[in-house]
Amino acid sequence: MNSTNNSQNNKPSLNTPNVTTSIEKMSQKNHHSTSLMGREEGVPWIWVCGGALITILVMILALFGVILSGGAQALWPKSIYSLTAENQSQFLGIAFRMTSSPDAKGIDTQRMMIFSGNQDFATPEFVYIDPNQIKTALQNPDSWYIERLEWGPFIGTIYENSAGPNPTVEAIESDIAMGLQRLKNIHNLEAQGISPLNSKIEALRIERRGYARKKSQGIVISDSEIQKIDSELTTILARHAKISEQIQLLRQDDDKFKFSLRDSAGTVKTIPVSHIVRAFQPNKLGIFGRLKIFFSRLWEFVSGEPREANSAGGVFPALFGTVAMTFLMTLAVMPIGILTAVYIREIASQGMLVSLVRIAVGNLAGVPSIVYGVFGLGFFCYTIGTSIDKLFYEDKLPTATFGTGGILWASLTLAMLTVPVVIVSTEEALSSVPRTLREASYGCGATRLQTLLYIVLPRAMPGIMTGLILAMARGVGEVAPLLMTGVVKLAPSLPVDSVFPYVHLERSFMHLGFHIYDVGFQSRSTEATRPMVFASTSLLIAIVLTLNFAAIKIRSRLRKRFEGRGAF
Amino acid sequence: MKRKIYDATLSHKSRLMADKIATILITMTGLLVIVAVVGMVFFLVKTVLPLAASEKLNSGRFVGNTTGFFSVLQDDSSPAMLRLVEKDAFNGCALELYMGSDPVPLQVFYVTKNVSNSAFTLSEIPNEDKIRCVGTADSKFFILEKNNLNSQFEATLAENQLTRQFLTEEENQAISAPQLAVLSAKGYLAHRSGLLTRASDTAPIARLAPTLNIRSKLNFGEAFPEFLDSKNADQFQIKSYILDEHRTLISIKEKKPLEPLTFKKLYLLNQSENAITGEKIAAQFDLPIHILPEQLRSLKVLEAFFVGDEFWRIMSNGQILRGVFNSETGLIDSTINSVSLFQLPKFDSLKNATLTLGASVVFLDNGKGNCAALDAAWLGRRIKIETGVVPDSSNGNLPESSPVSYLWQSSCSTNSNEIQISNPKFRLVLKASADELEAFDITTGRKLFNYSWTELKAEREPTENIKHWQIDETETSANPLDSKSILNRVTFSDDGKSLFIQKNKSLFSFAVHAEHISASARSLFGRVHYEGYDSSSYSWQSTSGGDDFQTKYSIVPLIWGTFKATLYSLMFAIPLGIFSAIYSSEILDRSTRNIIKPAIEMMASLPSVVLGYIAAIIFAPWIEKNVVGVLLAGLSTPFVLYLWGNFLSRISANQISARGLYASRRLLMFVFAGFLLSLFLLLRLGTFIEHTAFGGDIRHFLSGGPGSEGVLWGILILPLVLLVLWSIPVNRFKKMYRSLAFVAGPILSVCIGLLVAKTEVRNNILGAYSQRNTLVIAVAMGFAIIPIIYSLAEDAITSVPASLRAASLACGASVWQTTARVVLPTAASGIFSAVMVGLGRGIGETMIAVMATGNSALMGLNPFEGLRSLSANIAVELPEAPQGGTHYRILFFSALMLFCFTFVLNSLAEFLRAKYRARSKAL
Repeated sequence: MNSTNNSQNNKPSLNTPNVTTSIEKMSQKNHHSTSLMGREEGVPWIWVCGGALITILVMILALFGVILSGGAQALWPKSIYSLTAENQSQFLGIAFRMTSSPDAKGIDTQRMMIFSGNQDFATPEFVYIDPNQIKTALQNPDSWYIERLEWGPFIGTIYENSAGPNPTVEAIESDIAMGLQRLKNIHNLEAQGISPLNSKIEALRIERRGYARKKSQGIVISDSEIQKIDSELTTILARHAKISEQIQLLRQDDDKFKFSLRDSAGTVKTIPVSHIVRAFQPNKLGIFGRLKIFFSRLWEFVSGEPREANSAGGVFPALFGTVAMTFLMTLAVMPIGILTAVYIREIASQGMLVSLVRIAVGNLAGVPSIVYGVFGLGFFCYTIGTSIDKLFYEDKLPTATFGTGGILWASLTLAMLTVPVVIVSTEEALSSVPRTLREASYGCGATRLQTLLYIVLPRAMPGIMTGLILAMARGVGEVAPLLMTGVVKLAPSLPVDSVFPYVHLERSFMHLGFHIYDVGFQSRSTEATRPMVFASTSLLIAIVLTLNFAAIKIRSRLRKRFEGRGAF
Repeated sequence: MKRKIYDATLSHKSRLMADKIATILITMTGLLVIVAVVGMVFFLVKTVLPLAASEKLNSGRFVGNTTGFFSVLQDDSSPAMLRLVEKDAFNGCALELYMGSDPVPLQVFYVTKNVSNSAFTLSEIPNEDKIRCVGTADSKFFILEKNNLNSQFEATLAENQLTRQFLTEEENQAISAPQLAVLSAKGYLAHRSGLLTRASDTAPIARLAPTLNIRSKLNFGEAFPEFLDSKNADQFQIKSYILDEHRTLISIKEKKPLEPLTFKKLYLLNQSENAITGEKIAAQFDLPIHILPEQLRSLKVLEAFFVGDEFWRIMSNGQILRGVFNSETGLIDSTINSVSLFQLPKFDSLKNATLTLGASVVFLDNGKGNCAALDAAWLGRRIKIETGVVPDSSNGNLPESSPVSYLWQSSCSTNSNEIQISNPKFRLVLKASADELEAFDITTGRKLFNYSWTELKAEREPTENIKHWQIDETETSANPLDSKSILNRVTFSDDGKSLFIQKNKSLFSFAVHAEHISASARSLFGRVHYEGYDSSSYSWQSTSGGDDFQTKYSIVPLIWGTFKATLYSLMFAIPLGIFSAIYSSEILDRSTRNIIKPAIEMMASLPSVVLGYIAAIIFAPWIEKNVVGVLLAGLSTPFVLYLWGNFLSRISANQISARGLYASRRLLMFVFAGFLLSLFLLLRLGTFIEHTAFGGDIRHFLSGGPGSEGVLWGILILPLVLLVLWSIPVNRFKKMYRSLAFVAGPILSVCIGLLVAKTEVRNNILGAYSQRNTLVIAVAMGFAIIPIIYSLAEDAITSVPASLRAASLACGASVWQTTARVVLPTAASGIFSAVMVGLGRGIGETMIAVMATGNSALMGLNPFEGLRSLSANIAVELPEAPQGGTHYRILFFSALMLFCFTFVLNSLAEFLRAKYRARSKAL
């Protein structure tokens, strides 16, 4: 505001005559119309403007309302109703929401959508019923809600356990806990025993193939090398077989424990106890009991593995992939963004070259993200990646290692996309460092590098951090470029694990944003996966908003810090 | 920190050194951004450029002298070839296998002394890249198998196994190997249902057992050997076309030097299944092509083909004759009464007509410099549309009202002896004559290249290497292709990448550079008449159903979709963004603004995948239920708010003093109330109108159901009518008049609507409703664009100097007058640049477009139908597109186009912003 006032005082404007004439015209007009509203000509337009702002705010609130309530509902344990319809048919299920669908005559009618689960039973997963047709709606306290590894949730009663019919709640709960423990043992054995062996076997096979290739090229390889590999392979295979046998035994043991489940229609099905993830009787639960389930589900959602084609369970791999990708992207974007901004502000003389750099930055910021994806696929994956494969991974060919999408290429692509954000805010931060500080530093005999490192950058740090965080916020939510550069529906392993070299930059990865797109649109039923998608959406939005809030906080702190020091 | 500085001062030199290095490093990184942008453009252009490369023949090579047959085996890089070579040494022939340019045969696997009995045929096995079958005239059967290690073919004799174990005595007599190979030419026939599927455990044919099927119980008989005899083998062209599951057409035409082909025989192999026993019945028909109605007997039949059950013949005078084939008798009902006959326009004499591409397109050449392509399937549809089941053809002519529409017409050279089609993937038609070679794209008729024989240069290998071939020494002129000798044969290799030309015993090969035929300026941007379509159209259909699928790469509908989505969403976003920017900059108090502005700006980083999901799953079904209400609300909420504001400010004019109330949050509350009220009322009204005027569901009305056209027009033009009513200058009763306009407006607009209702809005502007449509994406994408427009416009408005406002207010102008006539004009270029940036974002928006549009590549104004945008198209198709192919490059091209659009928009915005900055500085 100050600066504009000053400039107003100093320079007479070219446009001032025009403005004054229009003001004159208006005052003349007002002079003539001496209505009650004389001074407030155009008030209703202000209402229209206000309406626009309100529309935006309402839309934002509605969006968040829908997402957050959907996310919370996905995890909240709901009561199970036992419904009897007018035509005496009975359902057991959770009331979802009202939908309208055309009836037999083609007229839209409101129906209650009831989730009755039990995919593996004869009854449909979703039941639509006219609310007027419901005769009784009871909450039977004995109904169980059982989340399973397969076939989705079960709603009904537990009819029999391995000890006998009509087990007590305590017995059921201890059974389930034991089942979970057994499953955990098996998984541990698989993770710690089998998978390292698998990767070793794979490595040896590739090595062997490499020798074969060299041999065919005419390079002399002593047979002992190959024999050594073969013998090693045999011992590892033997160990592999041994552990597999152990696992087999554990599984056989596990198979002895079974539950018989009975649905509302009376159909009975027997499932292994260890296939049960969580079981509770929602109608018996008070608010705290439900909260407990809610947080248990929340924890599973954030830290667990996905189940049933990503439509249930947790999103840990996606969350991990998102975070790892964003971290890698930040690593790439930080030096380039900061150094470029330093170049523009501190090093370059303001001339042709700097305007070129500015134009380039402006355009990088404006280029659609999908174009980066196309470039990333063509350049990183197919050009650079293929060359790397030819140089270092020849033995694995034709299976591409770096020559296809992977977390490294995805994060580099996103780094290109987000680098303008860092450049712009770093530039802003650098320009807010008073020149007097630099001059004082030079005056003391410091070089430009020293001034930069010890005077300018520390002062600009909060601004730079803001830029980085904003870049992360932008990067976390981008999905389009990832579609081509390495995101997958279901990654077999995380990009970071305990197998050498620990960080696997070539691996494809899962991503929360893609998870939303994939589960929301490409799965069995959009109805059934909706809660899961809403939960993921809430999580993604929470991450983006947290990052944004952090950036705003840092920026406002920065502003406060410099407001007090105007004297520089 | 101090300590470090102290240390650094110790060594002056190293300090300066470090400084220098750092400067260089920073400069290099700074310039990296330019490199990135330039590199990106360069890379995109580099990937796209091969699309623009002109098609050509090059790397001509003299392969050798060969007599009789030669066949080209498909190979990835260098073609392998089978040749029948005359051996003087023992007065016989040998079949030899050659690899690439190697002059020495890889294998000589069949030797016969009986030259007259030396024809051979080569055939593929479906779904087996690595195996070929060779049948010889004396019933020997070879299997060529590609070696895994060095990708070379190797021949094995499978004769014994074939005859002894698989065929009964009778069959063995019936099927001699060459026939088998002819029938399984291109492999299609061999895997038809009902063919012999005996598996065996005996080597080496066991390898083939799952795929090699030999047609059984089919006596092809007598006619074939005469055409396959090596002495006259060159005189016949034998082709087979698959018509459908059960039927195969085999045409045999006679070739004479410098003359067009003449029809010899046409066979239909028909296979049906006995409904009761399930037994496969095969029948072979020798079609009586030359039996013609009397007035046509003097004419020559150039081509014959089936469309469905109808049999068509193209005569040399450009007439097309339709007949009905009787599969019982094998006869064609060619009495003139039931034959429809009509003249092909502009082709009253034909020199050549050739069936191409799996019998779906006929290539016509009148020998006077005109060529055209005729869609065979179109003929069948035309008959059905025109005449119902039985065409009325008592006068032998069809009504003139439906002229034959060619797929394309083009000028071409006047001579043509032979027309060859490359493999269906490339859709290239080659026209060879004594003078020149000419190639066309069968889809668009674009001329690809044209070489006279003198222009074609073939490299001749050193003589010692080709001694083996027993060169005819008289033929060693500098350019043997130039010689006036007879053109024997022109053949494409199976992968379409090489062309083999046999001229008087000399065999030449050329590399065909025509990978991206389907992408030309015409097919990308123009209307193309595709096979199976009634007229030319813009069409995008890239995913291939099979090898002979015609890919359609018109990016016009995609550009249309992109701009349609963007413009619709701007229509939503611009008013909201700019009006709210005005409000928050000019009216809103600071503390509220400091909350609201960052909140809206934060929405800019809301992941678009979230918006897309909500739009598609929550918003689209909701909008579907309230179409009329949403239309009403979208079009008239501003007016209702205006009325509400007018009303409130009238009843409480005294309380609303200058800035006092505007600046408070209370006003926002009032506005909020008004907004909710208007939304509620308009949605209700919408439901009411939908029930009364459109029978409860406007979707039925839009797709042709009953309803009132006038009411729909009324809704659409309501805002226009209100604006017009308001802009009429009525000074004295202004306030009342404006309120009255609200009553008069809707009535007037419905009246106008009823008047213009004859113009069917359903078919012109609106149309059938699909759930994920332009309206949905307008709101969803608008939501993504609003924060950008709002933020930039707000900045522009706020930075208008306060002195201007003060001056205006001091002159007695009201707040709104100041805003509308002083502030906004000053900030106009800044606001415009905000809109440009918003437009740029809209064009590139991907995930919302993928999820909420339905992704159908349509071109229409209808806001209720889906669309397919460039960006969504890339996102959906690029992961599946094979690297380096036409599709891949076209997708890169669309990315380049997106880059260019946004580049122009951003540069324009930047330019305007700079101008604006300079201007507001000057103020």
